Amino acid sequence: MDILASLWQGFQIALLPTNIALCFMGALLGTLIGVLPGIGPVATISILIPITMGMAPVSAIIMLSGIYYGAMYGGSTTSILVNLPGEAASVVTCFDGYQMALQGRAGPALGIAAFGSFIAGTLGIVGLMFLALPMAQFALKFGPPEYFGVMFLGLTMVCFLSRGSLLKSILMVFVGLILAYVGMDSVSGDIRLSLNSILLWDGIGLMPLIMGLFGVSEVLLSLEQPILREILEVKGWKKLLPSRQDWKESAGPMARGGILGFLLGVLPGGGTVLSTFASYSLEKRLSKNPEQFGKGAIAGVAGPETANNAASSGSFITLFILGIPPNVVMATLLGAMMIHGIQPGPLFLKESPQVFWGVVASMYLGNIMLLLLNLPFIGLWVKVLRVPYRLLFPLILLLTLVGVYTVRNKPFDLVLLGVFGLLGYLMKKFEYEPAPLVLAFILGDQIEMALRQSLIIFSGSFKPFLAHPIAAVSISVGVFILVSPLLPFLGLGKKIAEKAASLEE
Amino acid sequence: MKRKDQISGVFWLLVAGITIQQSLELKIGNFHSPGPGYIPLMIGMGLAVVSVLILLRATFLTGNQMLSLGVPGSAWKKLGLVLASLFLYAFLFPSLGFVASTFLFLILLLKGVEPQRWSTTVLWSAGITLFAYLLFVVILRSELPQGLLGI
Repeated sequence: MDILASLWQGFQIALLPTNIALCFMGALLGTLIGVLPGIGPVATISILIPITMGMAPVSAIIMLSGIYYGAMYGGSTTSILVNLPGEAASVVTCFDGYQMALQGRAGPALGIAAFGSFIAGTLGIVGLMFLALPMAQFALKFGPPEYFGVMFLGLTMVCFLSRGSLLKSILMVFVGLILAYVGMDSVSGDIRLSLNSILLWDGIGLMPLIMGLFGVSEVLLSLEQPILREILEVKGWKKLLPSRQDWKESAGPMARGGILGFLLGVLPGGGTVLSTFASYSLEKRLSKNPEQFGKGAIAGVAGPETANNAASSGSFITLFILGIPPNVVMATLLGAMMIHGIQPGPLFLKESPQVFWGVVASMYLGNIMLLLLNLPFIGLWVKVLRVPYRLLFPLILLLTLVGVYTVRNKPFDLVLLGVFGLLGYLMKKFEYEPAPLVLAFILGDQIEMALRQSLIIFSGSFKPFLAHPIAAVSISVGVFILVSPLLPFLGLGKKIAEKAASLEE
Repeated sequence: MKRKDQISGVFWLLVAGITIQQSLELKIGNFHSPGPGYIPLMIGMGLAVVSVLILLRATFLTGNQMLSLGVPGSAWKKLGLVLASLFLYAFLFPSLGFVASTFLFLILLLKGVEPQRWSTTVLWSAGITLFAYLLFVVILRSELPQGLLGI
């Protein structure tokens, strides 16, 4: 059982006292920052990446996994306690979670979210373990055309699954790609799209982009209203353990959510978000008391939270084995890994197995940390949320600024931060979704490389694409998705996605 | 689809124009061996097409609606102030150093955006600056610029 042996080795690294401590710190900081309203997992991870600088790669990744789980859980906590989703995937948790909080049952809501996440995470990692090798074999057959196909499909799916106009999401993809191409071209060495300004020679950094579009713009949006934040008198948070009845009602949703989430998470596109909505809809359908949903049904928290975490685990597979980030959070993690010199992909498993298994083991660890940490520390998070927003937002902005600066040490990045903050704000006002832009930005270089290589290999004609079935299928499905709204009966698919999105309004 | 889309459509069209212009400064190559400018050019053109589509759709497909962004009047001032503070921070940061810039930044925000009492402002700004200093400079030893006072 090669896998178990490798995993055991991974654990030996992960369980070194230093690494355990780092994971704990990561989870603590991740939750602390993740809990802050307006800072979602993406922003949280970005802010905390600089903390991992200067560590050995495996240790850094271990800390990052703690940060990741912390950030995700912090987001859930804010959803339940304050009705503010930290990111799209937490939106569904707000529906019933917040209601439960208002009924004085914040504790069980938080508890079941933690347990659900833990169970999903564990099963997901098990899935990762067993699927890793076969998928890596499969992925080794991937050449430029296949990569292009999968990335293209991923981008079309993000467009399709985003709220609002498909046309606008496609536009966002184009903008993201353009932003990615500013700076030096890796193939020819030419400086591109620099508007003749030396400031743009290094290209546009990922951090200023993400932090601006998601972090700063959120702060700007929050400041529009006179700041009334309901500091929730959180009752009943001391009793965190869900009751027997709660468990009974949650077991089914968790099981279904887990499987559903895992499958959806592997797909490039909108895995985590889609899985939460899908799970919620499913549970509402299957429930004996559907009218309870939206009024504090614990199944409405258990299912989606489990699905979310399972989807994350699924997306880890796509990230690690294919090297392609299937969503924005994974993309941020990818950025972090690359900063540490780790390059996920099919060769990752082959060439650095100890790093890979160390990472897998650290994910177990992070998952456990999450559970151990959040149940006792909930009082801390509640206190953090008590600080009035008018005092909190300067802190959030400061963290953003420092977080951005410490990655590239370029003052210009701070200017970019402001620019993207404004852009993100305007985009929300003018009804453009940021996710397709960000995913396109991150995939930009890879996609161009894949396309150029493919075209060169095939001397420019499109025919040989057809000889590569994986590429051909991916591209066809992608194109199909793009034109589907034009075909009335197939526009149904988009309508379903929109219906799901409108649940949040 | 409202007037908003017309405005944003024009905006993105301009962006597309700039992209195309910049791409043409590079070697384009051709379909068989694409040069560095090839794909940016294609994407720029794609952007132009999509923005025109959005513009057309907004102009012809729906009735006229007022441009309404849903931003209460007073909010614009606040937003402007926050952004101005950010840019100011970016400019002063290298010369004034981390500590001074941070302190000024916080005071500006706390007094300007949702005005607090001076006591709250100064205490909270000092507190956060101290916390940030400890965390980033002392504990994490990040490379942050030192100002005139050497901190």
